[in-house]
Amino acid sequence: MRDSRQATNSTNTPDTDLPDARQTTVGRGYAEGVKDAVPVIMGYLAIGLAFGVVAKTAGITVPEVAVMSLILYAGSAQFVTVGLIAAGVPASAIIVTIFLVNVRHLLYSAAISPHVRHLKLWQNALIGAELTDETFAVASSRLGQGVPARAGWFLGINNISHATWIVCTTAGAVLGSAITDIRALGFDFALAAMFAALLILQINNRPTWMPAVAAAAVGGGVALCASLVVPASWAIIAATLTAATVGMVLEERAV
Amino acid sequence: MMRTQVLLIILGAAIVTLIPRIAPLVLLSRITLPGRVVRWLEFVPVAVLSALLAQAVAMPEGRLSWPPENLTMVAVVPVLLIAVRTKSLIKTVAGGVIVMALLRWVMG
Repeated sequence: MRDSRQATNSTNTPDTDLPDARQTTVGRGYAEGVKDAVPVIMGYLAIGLAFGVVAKTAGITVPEVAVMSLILYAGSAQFVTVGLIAAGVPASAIIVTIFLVNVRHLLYSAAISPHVRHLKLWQNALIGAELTDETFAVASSRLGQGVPARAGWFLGINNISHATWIVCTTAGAVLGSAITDIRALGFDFALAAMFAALLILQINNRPTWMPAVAAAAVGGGVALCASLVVPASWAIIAATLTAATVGMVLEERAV
Repeated sequence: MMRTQVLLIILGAAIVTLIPRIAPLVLLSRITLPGRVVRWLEFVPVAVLSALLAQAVAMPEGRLSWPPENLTMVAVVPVLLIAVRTKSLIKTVAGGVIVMALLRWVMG
């Protein structure tokens, strides 16, 4: 990455006072955002195709898949929705379940919020509307490296990721069983590799690495233990609340 | 073909997903958060990433599994080394995809 070794001191206060960040127009930073989203695109390629195939097999039509990817745009939630529709679960129960699956986005949205105080309300709403696990992971890492939080940059990340998701899920539904084994190419591992790389970069961004490593160990442990008793998305919430607290407390003691 | 019932489910699911995505960004960006809350929020990415990585690696099919069935758990070792070594997102992801393809090829 171009500047992963620079600007590691920006983690204390978001750069809301930079004149550069204030005069934000939607166009600026867009191409940079698209470039930063390349790993997300690789990951969505595999999972998107897989989702399309699964949805088609479960009796969801191609237009339904396209609309779902357009307005719901949430990987695990879409798999859950398809499973519940196929199982004949009532609409109200499906919607409540999806809310519980996606409520973790509260944390992502909150974590981005201190960086975008200089942007307009509608821009913040637009940024939030296309927030996913993966786009949050990329955006928060780059912000931690001192990349200015421009609206255009967020839109670049979000739009290309969302477009990839729509195209790949729809393609998966159209091609259906014609896609035999996309796993053989290894693309299904792209997102796990991306999380690994971003975690290392995030730890590297902290003023001292020990609290971040401890937080990561706690986060991983809680995520696995909790997922034995609660749904995976709740395990992420439990892990995040615990690990962020551990990290903050340890860093306060270390600095 | 687009079934009305399915469309309504998707619409409802989309609305309840948009609320947690948008609300904090709109509300919290308008107020000054206490320093401690901001420092806590700065740890959210590390926390989330460790949780997402642990689940992606240990339960790629949605339940806990071990090698040789779970090759992700094997592939993550060289991938972490590449990440530490190169500090590059794109090199790590490209390396990871290649490692995984090779593993699958070797394991037949």
